[in-house]
Amino acid sequence: MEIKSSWQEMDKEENLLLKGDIKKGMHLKKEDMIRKLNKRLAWKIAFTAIFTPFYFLAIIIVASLIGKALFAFIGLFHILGLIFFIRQYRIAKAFDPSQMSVKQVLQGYLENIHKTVRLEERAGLLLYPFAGSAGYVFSLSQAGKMDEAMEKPEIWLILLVTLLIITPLSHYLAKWLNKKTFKSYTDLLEMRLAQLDEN
Amino acid sequence: MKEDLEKKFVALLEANAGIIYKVTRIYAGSSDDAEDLRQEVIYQAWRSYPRFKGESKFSTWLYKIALNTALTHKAKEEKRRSIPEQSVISHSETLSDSKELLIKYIRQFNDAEKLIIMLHLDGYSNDDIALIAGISKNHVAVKLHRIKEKLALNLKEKTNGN
Repeated sequence: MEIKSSWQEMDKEENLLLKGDIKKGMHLKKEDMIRKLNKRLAWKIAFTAIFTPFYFLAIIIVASLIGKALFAFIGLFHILGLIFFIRQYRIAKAFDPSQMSVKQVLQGYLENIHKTVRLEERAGLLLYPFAGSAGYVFSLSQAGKMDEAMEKPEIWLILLVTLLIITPLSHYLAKWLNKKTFKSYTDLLEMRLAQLDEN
Repeated sequence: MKEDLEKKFVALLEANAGIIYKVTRIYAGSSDDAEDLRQEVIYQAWRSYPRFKGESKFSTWLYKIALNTALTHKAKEEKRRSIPEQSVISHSETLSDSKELLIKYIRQFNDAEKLIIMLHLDGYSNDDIALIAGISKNHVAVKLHRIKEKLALNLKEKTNGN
């Protein structure tokens, strides 16, 4: 069997690609893993942009100084997060596989997933305790129990214990969800990268 | 304007249909997966087409996109597990036995080896393959030598079997 000619002759077969298939592919709705990840990032940007002004509004509404400080921190943190998310999104969108080698594309995909996921997880880990505290203080403040709370250490102990449970729990839940979503895919990309490099 | 671009793109894809056909036949794990991969390749090519300035041949550009897409594509697990290789259906069911056999043998290589042998069989030089894969020319030569040996062995076994 003449291998090369057999292989090249396949190009001459008829109906290898139907016009209908081309049109369908051009307007594909289904998203691959990276487009899903970028879409998730876009939603996060929109969500952060919409809700950040409310934290600054809360600074005005909440009466206590602790509450004001917490909401100010959360607001600033959201602005920083927004900058990072937008930066990461722009990098991801500018990624053009048609101009890169297979190895560069595999590395780029892996980097995109790792960076985005790490950014989300770290942002969450820092934000959970402050968001929890702010919510708690806001509730106390709205219920007019702030003065009472200042005299009762057990109220703050409840908050502390709750945060100590909720923060790592939320962090590990986010990590687990990300692992469930991306681990098999990143393993596959890493395996292919190793295949390219192996001697 | 957009219509012209679409028409030109469709015509170019039809003229180079063999590339998409071969990449999907070699990399897809099932008929559903082949359909997914084919559409993903077309989508990626269409998305990148406005940036195609003709610095390389369209076929090389398309091959690169098709391979990049195939190597970053993940088949749905259940499909990949449950459907055997033989059921990767194509539009053209008329391939001769020797071509089907060749496809079968190439499918047995790992994903990086598939890429190298496909490009080699389509007449790309080791320099071009190295550029597309992102590895050194020497590395390509070593891998290609090993792949050819394996392929020759498979074909010899087949001949002896007959």
